[in-house]
Amino acid sequence: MLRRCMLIAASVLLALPLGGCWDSKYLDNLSIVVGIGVDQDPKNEKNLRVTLQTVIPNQVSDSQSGSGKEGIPVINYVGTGETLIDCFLSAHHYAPRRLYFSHNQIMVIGERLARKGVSDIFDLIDRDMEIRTDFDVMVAKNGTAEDVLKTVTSMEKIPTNQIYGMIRTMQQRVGNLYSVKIKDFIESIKSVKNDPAIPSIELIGNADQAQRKSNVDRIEPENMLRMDSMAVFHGGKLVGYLSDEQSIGFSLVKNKLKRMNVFVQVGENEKITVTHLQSKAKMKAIFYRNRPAVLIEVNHQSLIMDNTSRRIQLKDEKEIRWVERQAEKNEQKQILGSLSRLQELNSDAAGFGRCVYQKSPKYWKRNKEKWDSIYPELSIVVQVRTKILGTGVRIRSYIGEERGT
Amino acid sequence: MSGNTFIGKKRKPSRKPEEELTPSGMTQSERLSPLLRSNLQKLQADMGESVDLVIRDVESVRPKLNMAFAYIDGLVDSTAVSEFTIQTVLDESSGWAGDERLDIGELCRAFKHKTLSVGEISKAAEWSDVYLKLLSGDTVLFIDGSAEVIIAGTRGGEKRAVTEPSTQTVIRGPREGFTESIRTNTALLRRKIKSPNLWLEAVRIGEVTHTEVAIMYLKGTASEEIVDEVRKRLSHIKIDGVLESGYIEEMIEDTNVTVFPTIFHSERPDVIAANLLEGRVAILVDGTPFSLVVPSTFNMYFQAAEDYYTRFDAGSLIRMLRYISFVIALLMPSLYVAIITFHQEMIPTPWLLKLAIQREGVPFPAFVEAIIMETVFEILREAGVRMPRSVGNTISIVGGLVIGQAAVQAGIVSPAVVIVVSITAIASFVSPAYDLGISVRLLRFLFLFASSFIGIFGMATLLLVLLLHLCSLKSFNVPYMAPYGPTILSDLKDTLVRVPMKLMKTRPKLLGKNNPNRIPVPAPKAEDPAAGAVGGSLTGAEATGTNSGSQNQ
Repeated sequence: MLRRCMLIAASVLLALPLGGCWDSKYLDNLSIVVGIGVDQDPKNEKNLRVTLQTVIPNQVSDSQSGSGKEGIPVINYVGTGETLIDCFLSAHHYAPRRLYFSHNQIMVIGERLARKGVSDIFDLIDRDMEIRTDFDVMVAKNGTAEDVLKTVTSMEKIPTNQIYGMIRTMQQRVGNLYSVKIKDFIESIKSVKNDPAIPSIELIGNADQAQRKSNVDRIEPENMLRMDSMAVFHGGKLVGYLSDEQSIGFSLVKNKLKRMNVFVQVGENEKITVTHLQSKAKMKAIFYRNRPAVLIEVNHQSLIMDNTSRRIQLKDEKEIRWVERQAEKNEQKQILGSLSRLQELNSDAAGFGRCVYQKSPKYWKRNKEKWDSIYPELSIVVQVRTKILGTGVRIRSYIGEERGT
Repeated sequence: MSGNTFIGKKRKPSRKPEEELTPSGMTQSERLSPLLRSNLQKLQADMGESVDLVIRDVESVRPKLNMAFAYIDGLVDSTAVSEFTIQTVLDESSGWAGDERLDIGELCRAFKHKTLSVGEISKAAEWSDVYLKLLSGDTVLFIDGSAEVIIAGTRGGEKRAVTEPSTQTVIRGPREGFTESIRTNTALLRRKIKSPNLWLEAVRIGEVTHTEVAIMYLKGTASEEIVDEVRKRLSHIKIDGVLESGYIEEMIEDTNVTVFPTIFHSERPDVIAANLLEGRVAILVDGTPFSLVVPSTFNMYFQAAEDYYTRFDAGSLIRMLRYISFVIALLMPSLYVAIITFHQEMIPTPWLLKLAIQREGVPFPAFVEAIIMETVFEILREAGVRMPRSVGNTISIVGGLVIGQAAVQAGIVSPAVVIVVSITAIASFVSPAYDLGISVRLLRFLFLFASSFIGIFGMATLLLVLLLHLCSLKSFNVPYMAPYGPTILSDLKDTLVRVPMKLMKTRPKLLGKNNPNRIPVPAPKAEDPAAGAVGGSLTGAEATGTNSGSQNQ
């Protein structure tokens, strides 16, 4: 018994070093990549130019005593090459430590590259085990990804953290964009059934000044990053941008909206704002005379947020119902506006193709090839139901009250 | 004391515990000589004329009779010796005037039954018995012309008082702890369990030390096989001395090839009593406050006495906390090393960056760093236990300041590893059983090695091996991992959670087979021993309450 135990113990112990620390990568020998920018190489149309934003650990700290508080906590390595892996390897020429991609948080695609088409470059990201596929992807509107990643920010010391936070905040507070993970982007980029749409980011100001520390020495920096609305793709190529209003409508259809305000115009300068607490959008295809159409049903539960109207005092049920109907009407218009803009761009970002396929796979099989021409002509029906649950902590507005009573 | 009296009475017909003591190591089975002088000479010679051997000659004039008391100074209760033994014999012998032809045998009987006013009196004819009694603190009366001696129970001497135990402390609960005297300890248990079914058997172990080792169990509740197994294993022990229950523990445990304790120990009478009530067997060893309990299960090492004294919800929560800290104490340093060395993708980015900042400029790999800090901690801990109390402050200053802070500031180790080692250290002391903490400490280093070579994979493999090992362990033929290992649903009531007392109606399945219900179910079988025990002990104690001690020593 003892002998056997010793043998087992010995073989376990001897087996341990057989691994020989395979795959070990010490944390202090890693350059942690937090952001990837992909652009077209200006020198060679065919090549990619990749910007890798990596963290300099001892510059990040603010809680630790020590040196380097004043420095910029990131450094960008730029590499060029035909494929992403070529670019990564070429970036290694500048890097003292192994580039480590597991903690990448965002990927920015330069507008020129996006317009040229990005459908064929992401296999590495999908395939490599080290690179996660859950980081956000976005388009650098009117610029290059390199410039976006070069901007020094002040609230978050690491620029990619700033961008990451901006996307989340925008999605929650404004709703004109929603975060798209690279895996969803890759999945839809080649799909015929739907097209990708991703947020866009824009550098306001001068790229060269933006990368200097002095950029954040002002209360109001001259060069800042700004999140913009959704950029839509078709066939792997960027085809255009939605406006803010259209983006909100689009997010609503995609069920990505966390918060949305609808305005009801009452008179000249009188407006009622309705805020949706909960929204649920359903999309389904219907066939009418053998032609597909898409029916979108949206249900809201809402609150009155603001009332500057004298005429509508929200005194009774009838007035509230009237506000509901007006809000529905306005919203319907907004959704239709964004969907027709998508049809104009011939980008099926809302995924109508998938709806039609789910409704009738046979029809889809027959008309798959012609979908590009069917889609812009597709009729869309939008139904909005809004239920106002409350009027906040008061019913009547002080605005409408008689003076001196 | 009334309880003791009663118990003594009840038990006497069945067994005389003192006679069961087997002087296993005594080789001199010589018989005594009838001559007083030669007996005393032999005694002196055997004991090398040790100065603490006191021989008091007593002479009665008529009949001319020489007697001698022998006792060991310091082991006896000197009041008992002088007043109840020597004094009475002197008084009595002065009243024998004229009776020339006193028969020696009758004299002995007279001494035994009339004269000596101590509780325990016995006779002995062999040297081995004489030495055993003498060295246990009894007084031996040699009478010229008799080949037998009379032994008076005068055990006494200095004992440590019953104090609060220093291990397994509680906030709410009894404050008394076992002492080094086995008689005190058995009495402490008797006071907790006033039942005649609490049986006590004693054996002498140790060729030289003749240490008294007692087996205590609840007759009718504890499984007979386990009691037999305990008797058997104790009788197989061959050792020169038993100085602590650890000796016994190591000699009777099922296997030595494990880092886990398979015999539970405690210095709290309430803990031992609770285990007796569950049907376990306690082994008490003279000379140590630590008593053993068999069979033990893994689960027992997470049960603190206080779990049962506080509310069940609080008790359950703390129970779970103990399991969590067990895992932390076992895995935390190796997990840290695995993450730093292999699995940087496992933790959230901001956290990783913080770790990266801390690791910046540290000259050692994470594994070496962790080993250094773990070793330093072990050194500190060991020094803290062994060193004189007066230099205790030094440890906290040197340990806390120099090693904790200065090492980090000097950049030799990262703050993260200090935190990891500290949490681990604290977590390893959460277990109410100190010996499980030791096992965890040993295993922690194994896990560190495994994780430094192959990361989480190594840890997982080792965990699997560990689990298999745990499941293979047995303590006195009871599976160590019960009630998890062989899953016993009804016993899960006192594992991760402790259910309210009202629901704890049954004893652990594997132990209390004979008497599964804690509260006897009123059944037609009136002869149920436990049922008789509960009812009978109270009335019995009252009835015999005035009878003075026959069992006391």
